[in-house]
Amino acid sequence: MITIPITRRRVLAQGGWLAAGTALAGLPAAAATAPKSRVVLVRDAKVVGSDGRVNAAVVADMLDAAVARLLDEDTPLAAWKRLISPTDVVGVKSNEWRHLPTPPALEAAIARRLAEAGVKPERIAIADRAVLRNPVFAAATALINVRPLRTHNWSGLGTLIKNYVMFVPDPWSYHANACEPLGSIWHLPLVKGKTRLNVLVMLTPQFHSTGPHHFSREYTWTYGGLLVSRDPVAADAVGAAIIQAQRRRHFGENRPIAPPPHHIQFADTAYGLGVSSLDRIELVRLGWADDALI
Amino acid sequence: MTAAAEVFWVPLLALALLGESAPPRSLAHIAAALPGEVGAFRALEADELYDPTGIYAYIDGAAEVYLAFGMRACLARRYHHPSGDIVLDIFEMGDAGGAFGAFTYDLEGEEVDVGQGALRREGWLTFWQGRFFVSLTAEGESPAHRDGLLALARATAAAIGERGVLPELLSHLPEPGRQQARSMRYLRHPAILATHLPLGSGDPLKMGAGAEAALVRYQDGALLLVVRYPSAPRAAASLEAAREMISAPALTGREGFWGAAAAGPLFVLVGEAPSEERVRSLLAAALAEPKPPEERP
Repeated sequence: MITIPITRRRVLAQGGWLAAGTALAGLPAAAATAPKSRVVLVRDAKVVGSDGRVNAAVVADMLDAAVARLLDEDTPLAAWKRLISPTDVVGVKSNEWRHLPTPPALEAAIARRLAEAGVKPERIAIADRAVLRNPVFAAATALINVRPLRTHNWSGLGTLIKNYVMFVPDPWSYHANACEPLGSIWHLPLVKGKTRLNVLVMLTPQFHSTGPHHFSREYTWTYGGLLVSRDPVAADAVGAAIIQAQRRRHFGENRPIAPPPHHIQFADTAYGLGVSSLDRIELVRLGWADDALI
Repeated sequence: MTAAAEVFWVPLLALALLGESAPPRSLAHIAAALPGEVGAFRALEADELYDPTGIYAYIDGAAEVYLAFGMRACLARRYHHPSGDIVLDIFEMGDAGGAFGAFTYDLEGEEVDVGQGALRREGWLTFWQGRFFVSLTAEGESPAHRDGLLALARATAAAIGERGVLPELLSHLPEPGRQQARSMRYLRHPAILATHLPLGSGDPLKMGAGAEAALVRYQDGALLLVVRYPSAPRAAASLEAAREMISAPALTGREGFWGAAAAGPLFVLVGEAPSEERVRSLLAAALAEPKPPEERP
């Protein structure tokens, strides 16, 4: 038998993956002065009814408020016109997971604003699993990325970064090391540099997974929020922190997201898609403030 | 370990090692032997059969877990009820170890007497038997659904027939009477290990392909991981990786004493133990020659 010396270990940080990851990543000297990524958290207690239905008018108002604030514009339309030009071909990358899909009311609100920004209907498509067969996505000059946040058995979290896995024909080949390479997809010609807006849906996020079907209503809660950003990594990092906080609240102990959703950090450090450290994120809060968990 | 847990696990081990088994059946034979009705639940006409490529379309988000345990095929059948169906999923694994491992992926719930080990939660029952891991999900919450889940699980176990042998590696987990209830997990993939015991990015213990691992936590908080590698040099390399890992602060978990050892193809890691002596005793016990099953408590 060969042994190594017995060691008394200390725990690096309480708070799970995010706290530990933030501390581990460290900050290069230049990063301390670099501009922060802005993420707008907008919440409304009335966006999800007691029957679980999404209020279309409320979610549209939330989106409008967040997009205007994100770009410091007086009106939502002015903000959308900065994001999208009438000559763009726009793919709205949605998520159709049957248990927790992107709300159709939110998809409709996005499509409406795209049209008001001057994009003709035939130059707009909303899709998820069919994006590789969709001619609008094939010709897209701009992408809008919108999906709910949920736990995921292999990547830790189903995130904005992960939402682009349908842009490759072989998603399973991005599963190594808890989906660490997901960020590389964003550098493929089909999507590189095209994403104009990211909307992480936090209306009823899923904070824990069980079973093959991976879903239990018990592990969702009404948060009533949207996280809106130009930076998908920053929005995902904020979302991950909220999920982690909810897990702590629900389970009564620090139960880290498992496996750790470190594809968010890799999207920052290995693929340069945005910032994953909360220290480098400007979080702007709008609306309902109770139990924000961040 | 609680009395209930001891009743669950210890006979399970002995039965799995010593029990007799019916001849193996294919998923098609099992499907034919399943009941068409259970109480008020009636099977829909067409079963669905998924292979390792098609399973992603069926259980997006969880397919990788079952593939990591060696899934060969999955039979899905829906039993209809006006107030919510029951979905029966039968996963055929490469061997009984894969089925047992898939069962240990989620150990929350109440123990029930089905197959070679079963757990019931609100609206969800899982069990393993032979090469098969079975999941039954109720889409309703009435007493009829609760009863239907159990009745259909038992009928499925009868249709499977065969019994499986637990992985020999589990016999390297000492002191069964001091293990925490339902904390034993068996796995064959570094990502599954990262889910249950996050030790660092990637595959910090270099499990790679071909290794198997068993993990358990004791009542005093100590955790024990035993990994069998395909070769002694790979176990030795894992020990070197552990040396580096242990010298760094832990990312999560509890503070405590950590140590590791290797002998031949076996690697053993003890963590979060209350004392150095506890680390030493668990390392030695895990690497000792296991007792034959009849000599265990």
